[in-house]
Amino acid sequence: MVFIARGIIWYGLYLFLILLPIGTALVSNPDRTAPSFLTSLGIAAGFIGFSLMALEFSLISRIESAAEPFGEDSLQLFHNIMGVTALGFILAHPTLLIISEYPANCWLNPFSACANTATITAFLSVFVLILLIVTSLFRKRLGIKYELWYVIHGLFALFVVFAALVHIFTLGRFTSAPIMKAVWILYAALVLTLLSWHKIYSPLRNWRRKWKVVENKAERGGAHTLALEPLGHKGFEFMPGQFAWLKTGRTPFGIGQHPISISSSSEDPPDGRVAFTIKDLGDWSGKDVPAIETGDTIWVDGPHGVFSIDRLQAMGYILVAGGVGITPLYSICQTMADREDIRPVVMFYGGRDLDSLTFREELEALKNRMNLEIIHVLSAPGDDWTGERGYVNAELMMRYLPKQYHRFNFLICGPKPLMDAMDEALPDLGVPRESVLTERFDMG
Amino acid sequence: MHHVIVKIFAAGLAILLVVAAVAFAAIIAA
Repeated sequence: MVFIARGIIWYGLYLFLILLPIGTALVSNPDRTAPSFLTSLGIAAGFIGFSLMALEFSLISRIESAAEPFGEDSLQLFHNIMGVTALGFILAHPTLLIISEYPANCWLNPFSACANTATITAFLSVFVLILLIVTSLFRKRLGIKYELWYVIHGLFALFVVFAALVHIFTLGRFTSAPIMKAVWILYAALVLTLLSWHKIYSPLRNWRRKWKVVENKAERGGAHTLALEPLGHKGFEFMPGQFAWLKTGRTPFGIGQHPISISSSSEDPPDGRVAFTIKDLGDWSGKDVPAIETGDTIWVDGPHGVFSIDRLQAMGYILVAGGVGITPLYSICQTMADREDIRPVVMFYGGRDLDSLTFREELEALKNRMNLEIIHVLSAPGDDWTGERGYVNAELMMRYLPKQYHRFNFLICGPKPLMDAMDEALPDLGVPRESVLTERFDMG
Repeated sequence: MHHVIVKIFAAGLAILLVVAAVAFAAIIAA
């Protein structure tokens, strides 16, 4: 209930801030000569688009109290969708204004004779926003490296917001009233505060909380487990299933943070040791991580996330993992074993073949310490495989689910095809949405 | 399942904002 109340408060604040510019314009109405309906609609679209764009920063700032009620992967998805929505409103802004009364030549051609600071900043802001959205939606197809994209994404977003503010102020139409001026200044301050929090305050806090690598172990399935110990601090407490942002390098500042699930038990002895398991999925995980040596320093920002049995109590759990999605579920199983939790757990674990299943032997060993049943589902097994073949689906799950599965909670973590398959399977099985927790791999 | 809820939620918000923009325009232009 606390999370629901907190979620409502944060969402209410978000909605309030989006509507603040049009609400204030409505009250102050600086333009005494009433503009046409289309012009007014164009102005409203611009205000809403700007607010949405500015508030995009709030969704990815990792402010814990705001992220906890929703989960960071949900906020990330919401950020992605609202970015495209903001583009829609911002494109509607010049379209409606040009249709109604504004000269297209001045606004669409920054080199025309009638172009001025207001028209040029408007043009550049929209142009860069289009670039920002295109490079985000098609990053992989365009062959842009994640680290480079991360930098240009932030710079583009900052440029869009401040170019739009210059446009608003130089136009002057909605800055003549002091209260409207205050609204735009509030937005500029909000964006700068959120950026400072994310890029300066959080790394500074982590600067004093170094972690040392005590083991780098190669696992099945092209994964590596890094065991870390806190240096000069107590580490952190976490819920099984949570993740943290890891960064290698000399400082916690700058680019190159990666969201990685914790793969150790949350009931570990109080030396603060935590393990993270990372699958080779790119430059950092494939080249840098295997080269990390014992004694190296790592920067950890966490724990984060709401994907945990501690957030969703039930009489038993159905765990569905695909590939390295096993990592948080392995943490959950270890924690349950350490807690001597005897609630039943049924795990569906999908992978290519038996050799690719990370923690296969470790999970088998856990069966002796907890009430765990594991069903391996292999998409490309050897000829001698007698278990389940193909992919996890409703029909397959039905054969193994316990009779009381409606009273169990479902935790699912894996690549997009698995998540999509579960979107179809779980309603077919009559599983209510509130009984399901999911964790997406790709937060980028 | 979460991401389905997020998508529904985002779509609802987008519709709400369009309604708010139209209401703003109707009041200002009146």
